[in-house]
Amino acid sequence: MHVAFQWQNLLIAFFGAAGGIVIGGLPGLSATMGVALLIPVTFGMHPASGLILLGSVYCGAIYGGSIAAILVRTPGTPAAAATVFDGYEMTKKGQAGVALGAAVLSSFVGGFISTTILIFVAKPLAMFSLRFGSSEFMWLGIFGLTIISSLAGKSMLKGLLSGAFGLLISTMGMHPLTGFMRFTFGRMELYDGIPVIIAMIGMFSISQVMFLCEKEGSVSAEITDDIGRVFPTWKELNLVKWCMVRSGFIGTVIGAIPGAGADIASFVGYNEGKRWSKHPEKFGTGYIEGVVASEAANNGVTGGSLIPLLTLGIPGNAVTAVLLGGLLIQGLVPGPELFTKHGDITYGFIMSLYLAKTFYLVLGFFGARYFVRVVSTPSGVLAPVICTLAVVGSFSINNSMSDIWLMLLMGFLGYGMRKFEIPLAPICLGIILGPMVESNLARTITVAAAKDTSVLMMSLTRPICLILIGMVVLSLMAPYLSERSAKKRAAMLDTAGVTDEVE
Amino acid sequence: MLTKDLYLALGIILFSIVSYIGSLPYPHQSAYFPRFIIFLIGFIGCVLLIKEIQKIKKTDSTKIKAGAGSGDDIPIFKQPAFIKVATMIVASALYLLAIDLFGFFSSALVYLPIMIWVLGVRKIRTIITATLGVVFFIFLIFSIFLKVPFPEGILF
Repeated sequence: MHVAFQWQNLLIAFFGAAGGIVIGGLPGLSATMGVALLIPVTFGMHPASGLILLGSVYCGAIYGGSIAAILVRTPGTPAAAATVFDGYEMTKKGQAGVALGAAVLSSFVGGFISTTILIFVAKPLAMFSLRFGSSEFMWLGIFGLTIISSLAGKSMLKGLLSGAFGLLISTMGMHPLTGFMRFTFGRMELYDGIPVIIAMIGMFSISQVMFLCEKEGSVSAEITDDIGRVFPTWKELNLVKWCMVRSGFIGTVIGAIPGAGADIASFVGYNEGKRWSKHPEKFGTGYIEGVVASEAANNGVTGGSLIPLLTLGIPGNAVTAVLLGGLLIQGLVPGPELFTKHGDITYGFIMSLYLAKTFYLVLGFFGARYFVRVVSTPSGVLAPVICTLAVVGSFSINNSMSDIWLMLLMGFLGYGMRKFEIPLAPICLGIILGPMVESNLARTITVAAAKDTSVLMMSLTRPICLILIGMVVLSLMAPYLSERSAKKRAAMLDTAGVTDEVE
Repeated sequence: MLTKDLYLALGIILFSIVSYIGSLPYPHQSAYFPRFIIFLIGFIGCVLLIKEIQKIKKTDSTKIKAGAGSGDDIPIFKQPAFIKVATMIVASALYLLAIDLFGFFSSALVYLPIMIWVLGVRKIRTIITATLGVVFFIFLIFSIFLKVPFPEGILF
C-alpha cells in the first residue's frame, strides 16, 4: 500500500485519471488507444509508477465515455453505448447534471467492487497457475486467442483471421531456438520482429486518426453549458443502490471472461437492471436507474479484466491486451511471481486503482462542467494531435526512426482491417501470445516424442489441458450460442444510432 | 457483383499462397509453426470465399442495384473521405521525413497547423492554440518531466 501512497504515484494516479476522462470523453478516442500511446512513456518510469499511470488512464477513460454519451448521444467509448439510452434522455429533460453525477458515482461503486474482488481472487488463481506445464500454457494461449476472436467484433471468422495474422506477425524475426531469420525481407529493422507496442500504437491510434480524417473536421458537438445539479439526492441514491451493486458484480464477472469487454458488460448490466427494476417501463425514457445500471457494469469490468491478465497472462479485453504489453515491457511476467517476487509493485498497482477511482469521482463531481467542453473538440484537431503523440511514443521505445515508419505501416494495416470489419484486438493478442504458443508447442512436441505419444493424446491425459480444450471448443461455439443476444444488441445500437467499434 | 468480403477472401488466399512460397527455404524446425498459421489463414480465406459466393447467389439482383447506392457512382479516389485520408497519409510521411531532417519540435510546429487546416478547421485562434498547446504540453510533460527522448535534426 505504501507504494500507491507515495507522493509521485498519487500525482500520477490523479493526472492519469484526469487524462483518462479526457480520452474517454472524446468520441473518436478510446481507452485502448490511450493506454497504447502511453505505454512507451512508462518505459523510463519505475514499474509501479508506469502501471499506476496505465491503470488510472484505463479507469478514467471507461468512466469518461459516459460524458459524451449523456450530453451528445455519442458514447465516448463503446463501453458507454448503453448509457446513451437513458443518459441522453435525461439531458433532454434538463437533468444532464444528475445523469453525469449518477454516472460517476455508479462507475466508482462498480469499479470499487471489481477491484476488491480482484484483490481476493487474484493471488489464489495465480498460485493455481503453478500447476501449468508447457502443454497447459500452449492451450491457454490458444484459448485466449479463440475466445477473444469469437467475441471481438461481429464475425467470428474475421476474428479468427485477425488472431491468425497476429500469430503470423509474431513469427517475424529471429527464431528463438534456431536463430533463423523469418519474414524479415532482408531488413535489419525486422531482425527482432515487430515490437508489440509499435503494432498497437499503429493499429489503434493511427487507424483511428484515419477514421477521424474521414469526418467533417471543423464540426464540433454542441454542448449545453448549464448542466444543473450534479450531486444526487438521498432519495435518488436509495433508489439505485442495489442496482449499482448488482451491476458492479455483473461487470466484474463479464470482465473476467477473456474477450468480453465493457461494451458487453454495459448492455448486460442495463438489461439486468431493467429486469430487476420496480419500474422497467421507465427505462429508455430518461430514468436514472438506466444510467446507473450501465455505468456500474462497464466500470466493474476494470477490475474483472485484470484477474485473468495478472494471474494467467490472458487479457480480459482489448485494453488489458495492450496493458499486457505494458507489463512485459517492464519485465513483469503475469503469474505467481507478480504476487510474490513483485508483490509490492502488483499490490501497489491494485491499490492505485482505488485511488484512481476516488480521483475520478472527485473530478467527475466537481469538474463535470469543465470536462464537458472537451467533448466539443473538432476531429480536425484531434487527428494530427494523436499522430504527433503516436510519433513520440513509437520513437521512445528504441530511439529509432524505423520504429515510427513501422508504426505508420501498422496503422495502414489497422485502417484496412477496420474497413473490412476485421477486429484489431485479436491481432494484438496474437502478436503477444504467438511466442508463448510457439515455444510451448515446441516443448510439448519434444516431451510427447520422449513419451512416444502425440501432442493431442498427451494433452487429453492432463486434466487442466482437458478443461482448456473444452473451453476452446466452447469459445468457438460461443458466437452461435450468443447469436440471439447479439441480434438484440444490434437492434438496440441501431436505435441509439451508435456503431460497434473496437474498444 | 464483387463485394468487399469477396475481395478480402481472394486477397487472403493470395496472401497465404505468397507467404507459403516465401517460407519454402526455411528449415523444418523454423517453418512448421508459420506454415501451420499460413494454412489456417488460407483455410479461413476459402471459407470466407465460399460464404460470400453463397451470399451473392442468394441476393436478388434488384437489391444489389439498390444497395449499390451513391457511393458506387463516384470513383473511390474522388470521394472526399478518401482524399482526406490520402492527404493525411502523404502528409504524415512527409512529416516523418521532416523529423529526420529538422527535428521533432520544429516539424510538429509546421505539421500541426497545416493538417488542422487541411482537415477543415478554419478558426485561426483554434489552430494556433492547438498547435502551441500541444507542442508545449509534449515538451513539458514528455521532455522535461518524463525525460522521453525525441528525434533530433538540424533544428530543434
